[in-house]
Amino acid sequence: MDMMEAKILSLIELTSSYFILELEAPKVAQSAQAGQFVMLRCGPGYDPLLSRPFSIHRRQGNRIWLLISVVGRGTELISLSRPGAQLEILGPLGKGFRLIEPGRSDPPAQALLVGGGAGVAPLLFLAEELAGRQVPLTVFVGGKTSADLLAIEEFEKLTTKLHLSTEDGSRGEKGLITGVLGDVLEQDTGFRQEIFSCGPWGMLAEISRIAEERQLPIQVSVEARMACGVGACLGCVIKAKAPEGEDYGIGDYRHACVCLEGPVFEAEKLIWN
Amino acid sequence: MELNSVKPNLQVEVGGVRLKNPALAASGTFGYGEEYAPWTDLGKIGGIVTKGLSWEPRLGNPTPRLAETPAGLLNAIGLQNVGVKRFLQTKLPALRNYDTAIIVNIFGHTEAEYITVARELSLAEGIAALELNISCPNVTQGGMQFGATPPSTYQIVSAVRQATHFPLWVKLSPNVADIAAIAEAAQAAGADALSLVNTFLGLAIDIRSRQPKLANITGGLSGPAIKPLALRMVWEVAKKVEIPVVGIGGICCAEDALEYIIAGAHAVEVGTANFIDPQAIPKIVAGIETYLLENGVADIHSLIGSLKLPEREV
Repeated sequence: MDMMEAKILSLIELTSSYFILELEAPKVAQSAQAGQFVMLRCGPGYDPLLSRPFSIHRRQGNRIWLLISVVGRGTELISLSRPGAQLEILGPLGKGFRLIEPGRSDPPAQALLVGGGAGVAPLLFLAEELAGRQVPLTVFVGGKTSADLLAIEEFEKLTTKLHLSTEDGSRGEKGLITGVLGDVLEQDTGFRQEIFSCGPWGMLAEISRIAEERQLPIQVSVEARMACGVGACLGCVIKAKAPEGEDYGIGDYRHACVCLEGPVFEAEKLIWN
Repeated sequence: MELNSVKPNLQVEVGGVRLKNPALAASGTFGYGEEYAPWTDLGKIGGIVTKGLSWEPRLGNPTPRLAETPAGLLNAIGLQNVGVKRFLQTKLPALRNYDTAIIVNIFGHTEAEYITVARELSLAEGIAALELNISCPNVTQGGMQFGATPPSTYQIVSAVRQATHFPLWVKLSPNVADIAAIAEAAQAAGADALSLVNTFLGLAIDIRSRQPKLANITGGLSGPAIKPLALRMVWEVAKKVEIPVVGIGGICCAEDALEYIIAGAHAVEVGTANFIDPQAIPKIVAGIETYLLENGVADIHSLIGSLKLPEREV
């Protein structure tokens, strides 16, 4: 119930832009669901003031891993933390991915995981959960350059069906990962496919369009600036379709808190344009 | 010395509302209370001031709505809220399950809307007081302009005063020339207490895009950065008015809250600190109690307005 102290067990720099933080956080680790996130303070003091939201990348026992992209002062400060130090953490927060129940459907289910850049963060946790349920996985990872293709070795342990792309062609196919996904969906697999995705807004919008065209179920994890992480400040909202039959009295959309209703949404419930 | 064996009194009465302790959650930073229930013990909080409520639901402003500044937070939420009907149907009943005073912050686009909201809420049970928001900097209509001058303040407070039997707190804006004059106008119009301050109007710019960081262009600044500014205003106002003052502005720890109380506040509202630590208010209450014990103060009332000023040479 308390804001918890999490001990830094390791901090591994992947590139100059990304690092992985391993934390001892028993309460978070034991109750987290794939797709949920934590709010992490950048350090002591009031500057930077706010905690930062991070999807849980992996969990094991009492430990969690966060895949963090250095985008500003807060994440830079976290990247300078030393193992053994404590950071305050709140979580797990938000709504995670609805998992596929294997064997429940005919044809059998197959999960397509599509990540862009640091968007693979929640997808590794998800992949491990789905693999544990013997759900067949196909994973797509895209980035601007080969330095932006993350967690590849971990995904390789979970599936042989791994598709990579970079915008500069330095690794995998040259182009956007959405193009690779489109090509793969052309092939008839005999599976009932479901898409799970996390990445930049434009990528998610395109994948949602592709999924809608093919009437495939799709869940997306979206990113937003947050202050509280618990649905109180209303700072992180995105446009969502107003539910039918419920009179909000304010038109055909509403502002949904990413932190509380998300970060994972059924793509069809969001307004993408 | 047996000081430590006696629990000091933390109970205060603020404008007709009995509070178990003087630390409340500020409007707009604590949702409708239930959002924080999984993360803190709401029963340890003196009172919860709920998110600003209008007659109709409001979508609020477009995003981005937040920009972090040094030791501060600039926000332009735009009073997104569920409206009176849903508040009474779902939010208030949920919050009433907790042992804390419920103060409902209200606003309107027009004087008539303020009155309608106040009247409708006055039929409900479980509300300890209304806090009149005449100070939101982030909406074009309603909000700040009602509290911009002493006459306009007097007008809106009088109108709402006649529309409700609930204790009426009035939340003041710091974005005025003379906040003490506004405070006196609110008192004259029948306010039972004053809460101050709301956020300071501010601006943050992204120098790469040369665009404002907020979609609303300007926003309201909160957090530790504003504490000395707000504290000065609370001190000025508390000297001028007879009714209790609730201090607000950058309170993060017990020491901050104590400064406000010594400056003359009967209670405090904690805002942005809740975002950093959902346990902030219970920690502040515990810290105040420890301070009273350590300083041999049996009752918090002896601390209110106890600021010692240096003697000046004539």
